[in-house]
Amino acid sequence: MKTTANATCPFCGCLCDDLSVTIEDNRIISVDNGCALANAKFLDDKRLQHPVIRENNRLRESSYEEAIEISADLLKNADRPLFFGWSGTQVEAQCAGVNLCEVLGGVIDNTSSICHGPSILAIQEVGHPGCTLGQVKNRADLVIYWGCNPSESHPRHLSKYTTYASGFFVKNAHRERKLIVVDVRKTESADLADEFVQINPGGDYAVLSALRAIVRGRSDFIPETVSGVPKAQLKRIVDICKEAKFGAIFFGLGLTMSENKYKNVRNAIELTRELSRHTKFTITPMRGHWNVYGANEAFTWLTGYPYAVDFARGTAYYNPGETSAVDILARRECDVMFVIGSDPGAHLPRKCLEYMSKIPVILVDPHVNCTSVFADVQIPVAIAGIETSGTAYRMDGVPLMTKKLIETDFPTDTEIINRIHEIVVG
Amino acid sequence: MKYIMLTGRSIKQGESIEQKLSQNYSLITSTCFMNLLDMVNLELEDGENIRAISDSGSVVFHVAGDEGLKSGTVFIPYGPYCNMLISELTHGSGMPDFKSCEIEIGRTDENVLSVIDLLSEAGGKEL
Repeated sequence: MKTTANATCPFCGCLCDDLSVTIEDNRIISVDNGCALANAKFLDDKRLQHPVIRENNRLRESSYEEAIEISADLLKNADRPLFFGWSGTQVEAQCAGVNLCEVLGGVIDNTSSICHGPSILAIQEVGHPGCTLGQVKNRADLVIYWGCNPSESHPRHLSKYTTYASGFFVKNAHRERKLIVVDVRKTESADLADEFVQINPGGDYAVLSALRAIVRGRSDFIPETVSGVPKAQLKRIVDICKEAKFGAIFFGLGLTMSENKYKNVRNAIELTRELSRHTKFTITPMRGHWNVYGANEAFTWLTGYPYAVDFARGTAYYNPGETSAVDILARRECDVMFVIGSDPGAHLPRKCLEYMSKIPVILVDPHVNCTSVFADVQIPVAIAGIETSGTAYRMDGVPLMTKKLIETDFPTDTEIINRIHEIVVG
Repeated sequence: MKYIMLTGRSIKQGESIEQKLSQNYSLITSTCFMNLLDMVNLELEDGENIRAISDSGSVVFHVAGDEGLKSGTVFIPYGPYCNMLISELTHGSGMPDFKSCEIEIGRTDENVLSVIDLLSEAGGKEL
């Protein structure tokens, strides 16, 4: 039995890197410091043992060689292959994926397009006044969670970086750090807040605009309620913000997935700017799926664009809404889909799934999941971040080297992509 | 009456994410949380079933009360059940309306489908 200290969790964008993982006979038997999500991830022991190939509408076991050759043939013969996923794997595999897509003239998208893609669109318009989580922990005396529920989606965010995390300039966080939660739903996180603002669905843009007006001293323009929020509460929120020495806004998919989408995020960034005329304020997206930030980084280094990159013209072209996975599937445009590090079968709208059932789908994933139901080839791999080492990015853009905790005979994501690449280029 | 369907992460959904064809994942992601008064108006009790209908599809869910929801809103954990109701349209943004989908709700005696049966309605194949 051995214990590995300071292991990094491969579940959410917090990338908690202080876990102690105990291993016996090359199996993980316990995890200390992890949240419920980490424990489930590390202790899960059910997985697909062999590659499978669909024949006569039934899946049969195959060798890795056969599954890789069939995958390469499908991709080579495709006119418009779509490569989707990438947030559940490491940067090394993401880079290999971009290279393979470029060789094939395909289109590659990561799960940003259905999580914080709109945040990136807003940042491209107006910039990103952000900071690291360490700055928040050590300096912030006010934290605002807007459209997110970290108690359930990022369970250790509050204890590592905000409400319960004392820092260099905030010696007693629970007493000295105020917490505001803004949401359409009174969540567990809202129960912890000093001030909870419950807005009507779709009301984020109006509330953000009202707050900006009040910060600018124009509360005379504001009606008595804005999207269900009393004017008095809005003015109180602005007072709390202005009195803070360092305010940190974190926002979730409550802004990106509701009406107005990236315009909500743009407005939140502009509010951050307004507040920074009075005191110090920063804003950070609560990146959800582990290394999705790394996918944006890797895509940007290699193509110039963070997601939804189309190589069909021989050069990188980017236009979310046109080159993003949901739109390509909805238009019935791709003729093969390669999926890695995500499960679109569980997370895309029905029409996309209906089209996935009509085209060959190649799935690279250790687990049988909802995409397996649509897959024609599934290749099981080592579990990224547990059975492979590599680079992953935290939600604040800090890259961390993740440890290989246990040995495995399963190939890595990168190996599978590179072997397909070798066959494709001959 | 139309309801706004909010979809999102729940900790139970996150815990079961690597076993998506399990009964546990099915139960978690097929639960529709509703405002308590809305449940009274529809004469629904915890654990009873509803059929939710949108312009894109129709799915049976279990129902459970949630005091944190405003009247007219429902919350369903991320998963294939709620996504059967979401439109593929993204308004040129790449992002579907995962948190602003309008649905109608009616009580039903029909059963909730398993994940595989649900996906087979969208063309999912045999395993």
